[in-house]
Amino acid sequence: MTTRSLYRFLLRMHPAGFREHYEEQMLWIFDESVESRGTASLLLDALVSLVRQWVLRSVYWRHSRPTLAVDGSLALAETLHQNSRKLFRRAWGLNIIWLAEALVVLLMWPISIFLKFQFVGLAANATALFPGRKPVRGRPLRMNYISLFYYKNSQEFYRSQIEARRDGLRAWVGKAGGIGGAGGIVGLFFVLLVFWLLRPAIRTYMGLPNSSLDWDHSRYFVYNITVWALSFRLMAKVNERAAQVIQQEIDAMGESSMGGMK
Amino acid sequence: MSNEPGSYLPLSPAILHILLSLAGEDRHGYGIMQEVALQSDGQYKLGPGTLYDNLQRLLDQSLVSEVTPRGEEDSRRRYYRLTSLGKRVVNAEIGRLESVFRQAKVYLRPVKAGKS
Repeated sequence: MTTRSLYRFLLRMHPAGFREHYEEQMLWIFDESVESRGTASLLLDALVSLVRQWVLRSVYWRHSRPTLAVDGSLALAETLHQNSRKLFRRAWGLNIIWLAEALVVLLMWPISIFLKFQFVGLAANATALFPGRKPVRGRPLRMNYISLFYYKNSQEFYRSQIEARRDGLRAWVGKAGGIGGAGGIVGLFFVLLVFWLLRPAIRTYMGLPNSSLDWDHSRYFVYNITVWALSFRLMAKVNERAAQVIQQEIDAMGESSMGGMK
Repeated sequence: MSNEPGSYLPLSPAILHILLSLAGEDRHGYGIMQEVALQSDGQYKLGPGTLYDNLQRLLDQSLVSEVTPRGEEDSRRRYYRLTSLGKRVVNAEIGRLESVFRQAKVYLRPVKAGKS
């Protein structure tokens, strides 16, 4: 493990609120100052910070909501942007697992026709992640900066924009996110059952020997479907979080208008 | 939080250095760390963890605000600006330190004379 990875690990151990605000900034400072300050002092600082944030500030981070910067629209867009980046990173983290597995499959030469199909399935899994990131990445609010500039004083316009975004996210979470939940698990067992029952027909169709499609082969299938379901679950969580951030923004708008502010 | 600068005093060394580093211009986190090291001739070095812990408190107290400079593409660079309340608090702290300094000169002079 490199010192940068260790530093990043320490940052990821911080409370979620702190990470959202400062993880990227602290990592950037690490990159900039590691030569001048030395790794030991930076790692020690991160360790002390970790203890400080959990022991002294954990209550604060539990009840905090994202800080609004110059104005709400910019802060919200930034928060969504950060969320989408996290999602993208996590999605690619899963892709790496699949690609590593694909490499292992390829190394198991000579490769059987079943495993070739398996390899195609891995690629399909990796590709399937991209529609999932759409709700967050989709059409970013950044694209609306110009219109927001002209309608800066129109809270209603801004509100309608972000409410539509929130509803879109929630709809996706309700629909696709369920794949990784209880419905997904039931679906997984159903698919496995169908697969198990259809094994003789698949053997005949593909010209495979009777010894194939036993548990040794089926476990690849089980593994892939499980990871696929988990990835949807993960994406649902990230999108759900983005919807929560938007809701907090809407609530904050309500509070500020009740307080007589514009 | 009170708008009375005196209610924030005395400031911790880290807070004072951060506020002073922002007195001249808006800076990002790394810029603040460099400025603090420069101002103290390298004697006081803030770590990123200490810096952002204090910055969060300053943001909550509205002594510092976060700004988005034009043309800044790197989302990792967030800039911070001293608010008008922050400026008043720094001035109040400097006034307090000057008073301490004057008192110190009064009390320490006879000791010096006695030693010589």
